[in-house]
Amino acid sequence: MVMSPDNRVPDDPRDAHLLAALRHAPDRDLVPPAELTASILAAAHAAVRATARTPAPGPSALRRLLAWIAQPQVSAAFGTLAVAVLVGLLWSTREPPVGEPQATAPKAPPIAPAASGTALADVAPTPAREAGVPPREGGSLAERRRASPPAVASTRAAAPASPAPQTAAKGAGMSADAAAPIADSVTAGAIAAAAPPAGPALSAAQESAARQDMGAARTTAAPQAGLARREAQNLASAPAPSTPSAPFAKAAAPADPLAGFDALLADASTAAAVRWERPPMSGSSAPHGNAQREWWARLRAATQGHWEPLQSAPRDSPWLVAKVDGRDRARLWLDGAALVWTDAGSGRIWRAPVDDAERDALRSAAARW
Amino acid sequence: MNLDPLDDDDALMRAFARGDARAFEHLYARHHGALYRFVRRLLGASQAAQTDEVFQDTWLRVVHARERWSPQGATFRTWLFTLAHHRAIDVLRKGGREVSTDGAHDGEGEPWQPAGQAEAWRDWPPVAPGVEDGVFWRAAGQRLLDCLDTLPAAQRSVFLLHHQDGLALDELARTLEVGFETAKSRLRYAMSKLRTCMGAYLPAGQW
Repeated sequence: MVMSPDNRVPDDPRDAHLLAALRHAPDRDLVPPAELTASILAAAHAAVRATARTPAPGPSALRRLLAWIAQPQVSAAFGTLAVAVLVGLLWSTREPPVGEPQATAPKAPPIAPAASGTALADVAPTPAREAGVPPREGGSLAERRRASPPAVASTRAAAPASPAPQTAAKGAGMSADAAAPIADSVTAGAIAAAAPPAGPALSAAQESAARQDMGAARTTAAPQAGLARREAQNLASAPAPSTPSAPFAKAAAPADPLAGFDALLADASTAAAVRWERPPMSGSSAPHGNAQREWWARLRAATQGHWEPLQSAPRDSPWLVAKVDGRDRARLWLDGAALVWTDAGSGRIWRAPVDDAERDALRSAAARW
Repeated sequence: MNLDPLDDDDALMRAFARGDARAFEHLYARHHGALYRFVRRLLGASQAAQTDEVFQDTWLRVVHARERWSPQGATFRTWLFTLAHHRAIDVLRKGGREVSTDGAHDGEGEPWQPAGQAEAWRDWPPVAPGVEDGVFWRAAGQRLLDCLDTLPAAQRSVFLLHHQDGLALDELARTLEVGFETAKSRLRYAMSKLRTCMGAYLPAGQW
């Protein structure tokens, strides 16, 4: 009995005779055939070559990408990029700020004849309607917009069929400190959008709100801008605010108070309803014909860019009164060295200085009607 | 102790797993003769034609299993002979030879006790052979091969692994995945039968 060298387990001894017989067996020198040896060695070499050609299995591209993204700095970069893209998309969906108030007026849709009458009905100031608006609670951005009456007044000329969107436009247009360009556009857009379908008027109001939001977004947060739009839409169904005060009227004054009426005259269908009267010659009026068009173009050219708000109209009778379907739409005075224009819809008064030659030319042209 | 890596089967196998084909050549050169004889003797005369196939399959298994090979307490040589043993047993089973792995048909119910051993080997020449004894032992070797063919495969494999390849009983038991006592019993039955077979064939005074 012997012990196993590994774990000391007793091992049986080898039989010396059997062991000797086994060592002298005829097959003691038996070896595999050379071809078999060559085949086995070739298989081993082939397996090694195949392994060498096959790249070691590493992590997949997806796993490497996920591991890379999982790094804190990469995650932060992606988060920043995502926020930037989101802000960019939100920004791109808004229209750019309106900086050219008169450019939109000629392109506005023409006023339908039916709407013209209603628009003319608003020529007279409507303090009662505007005064009926109770002040709202809270100090929201919309609240501040409602506290800015000039734009309200400027857009009040819209047809009754769609007063609410215009009110919204007014509300949206009043909050910005530099609201004059916006208000100009609102005024022109509101007058031009006074067509019967409420859709365009609503779009104009929303557009104004969006434009105002663009301006407000620079100084206020995005949620405030969204709130401003919602508030503007809410105002669409609310009564008009009170009569504007002079300082706000000046701040929100349009640069061209004639733009709305010019748009009305530009459309042949609505221009046909326009008649020019001279109060001293009441009862006799002239339609808006070729002579009137030339005269109007000259007046526009002479006063372009010179209009400024005026507190009160002259006490004497106006020089000319523009009527649409028999109702006053605008009044014009020759006040010394200036022209005074009042819009019956908004009740606002504008003054534009003209030189003597131009004033005389306008006067003489009108005298020939 | 400074061991030559070429003397360490495990180191050669690890080198082969890393892509060193020459390491495999060293392993093959070291073990191919003994393994081939083991397979040939285990298969016996009836399945001798399958020797090349079993031998080749064994080495190919080594090639294919190189990357997942680990010593796990057994030497490379033990693992190599285990692969060959399992493959040879499969061939024997397919060839219709009765192969018992549980010892139920091998007379292994009781541990074998040597009986009449002295009489069986009384007239054999001494183990250290002379010139004339060499002729005797070559004839004895052939007789032993014939006697091995009469043994059950389980006893034959135990005897070959123990006497030819030098495995200890416990290692042999692990290789064949049998208990130590079972391996020991199989070995004793194999040796008793072989001694009887050899003694009957080599009566006193015949050589």
